[in-house]
Amino acid sequence: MEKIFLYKVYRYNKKLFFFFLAFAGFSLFCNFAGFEITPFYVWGMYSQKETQPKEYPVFKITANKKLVDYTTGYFPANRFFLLSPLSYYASVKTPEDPTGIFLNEKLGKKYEWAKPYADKVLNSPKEFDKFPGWFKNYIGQTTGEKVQSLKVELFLVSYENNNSIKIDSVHTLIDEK
Amino acid sequence: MKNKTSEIYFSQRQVKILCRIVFSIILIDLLFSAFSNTLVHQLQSPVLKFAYVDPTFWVMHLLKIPGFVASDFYLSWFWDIVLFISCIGILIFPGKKWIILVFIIFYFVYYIIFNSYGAHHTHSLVPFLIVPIPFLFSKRSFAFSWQALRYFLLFAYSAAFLWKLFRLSWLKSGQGILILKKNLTPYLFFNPHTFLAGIYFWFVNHPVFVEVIFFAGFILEGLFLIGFFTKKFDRYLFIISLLLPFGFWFIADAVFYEMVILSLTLLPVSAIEKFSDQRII
Repeated sequence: MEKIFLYKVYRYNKKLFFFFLAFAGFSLFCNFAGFEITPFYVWGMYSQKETQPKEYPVFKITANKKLVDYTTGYFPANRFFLLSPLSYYASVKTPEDPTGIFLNEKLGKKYEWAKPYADKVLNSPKEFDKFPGWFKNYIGQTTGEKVQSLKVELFLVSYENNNSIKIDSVHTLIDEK
Repeated sequence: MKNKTSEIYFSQRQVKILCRIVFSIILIDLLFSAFSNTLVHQLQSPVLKFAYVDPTFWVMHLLKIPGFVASDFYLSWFWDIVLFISCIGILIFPGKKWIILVFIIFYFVYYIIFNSYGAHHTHSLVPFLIVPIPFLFSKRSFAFSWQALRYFLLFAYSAAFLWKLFRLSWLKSGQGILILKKNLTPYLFFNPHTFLAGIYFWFVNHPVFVEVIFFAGFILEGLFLIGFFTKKFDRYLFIISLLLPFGFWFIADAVFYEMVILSLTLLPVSAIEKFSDQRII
């Protein structure tokens, strides 16, 4: 018993003990529930079962008629900020925030209770409309050049006999001149 | 070095050295953020936010704090300057707890901004958010808090192991190669003829080797469970904690180098002593 970390903390300082106990308890609860509440993190780390997709999405970003190859030459955080908001924008099928749709499905009628708050937190169609303009500015920040024209295309690609990658279809997401 | 209630006791000098090591790493990462165009003033007043279903993010956005800081030109600059100045201030005055508190508050808002407007709740900044907290405590409370961080690291990797175990993804055929293709396809598409692409295509053609790496990573994560029962193997866990981010980078193109700062908690006090003896910091 005396070797147990929390017991030692309890002997030394009860406030600290309850702080650690609460943190550990909430962390375990969040992990059992699979529900993250910062700072009680769920450390999944690629534990979701992957499914074989028919195609893989690849974004082609062209700024001032030059390719922005975000896959090389940029710091990881920069790549994250170039790609992740774009993927989110591309995933939106309707002007409604996907989190709102998710909550509506999960909570059913109870969502009415959360909706006034959700309207303040989730993105409105106006914010989705503003995204291409913001992305243009952020590309400019990243490349160090003022962006006059921006084109973002979504390529759906697949592997050919595992030796090369072929384009199956192309969709234009943003075309700002 | 031992006392009745704590196995480890840090001298005031050792705490200061450790504090300087930690905040040197954080300062380097802030410089990386500057080169990454991800400091608050560089985000160009982002518009799409992603609070997801995390109540902490919801509260912050209901209070309009992230949007207010990120969209105001002067305030966003102020935020970044305070982050740098407080970090440098801690390096100069490692004993001043109020500077550490200022850093934690500003970094917490930065963390919310980064994950909200980055549209993905990544855990990459979590270590830098958590690791300064023990330095708010004094003497033995620090020693206990530092040990608590060790358990936090053990929990993170153990949980990753257990999630894979119970979700049965470790049994899923092709899990490794599917993760690789999902994350590396854009790189292979744009750069098919580089040396690295050659290596990846080799693995694409020999997926069994990716599965071996994925499974090895899964087992290595599981070894962190041992750390809950004994500290005897901490030096090995330390090495594993340095190896795992390489695995994440190779298979998933995810750079989790920030986790390495938590690996410091696996080092014995004597290692900190070496730093002080050699006057490296």
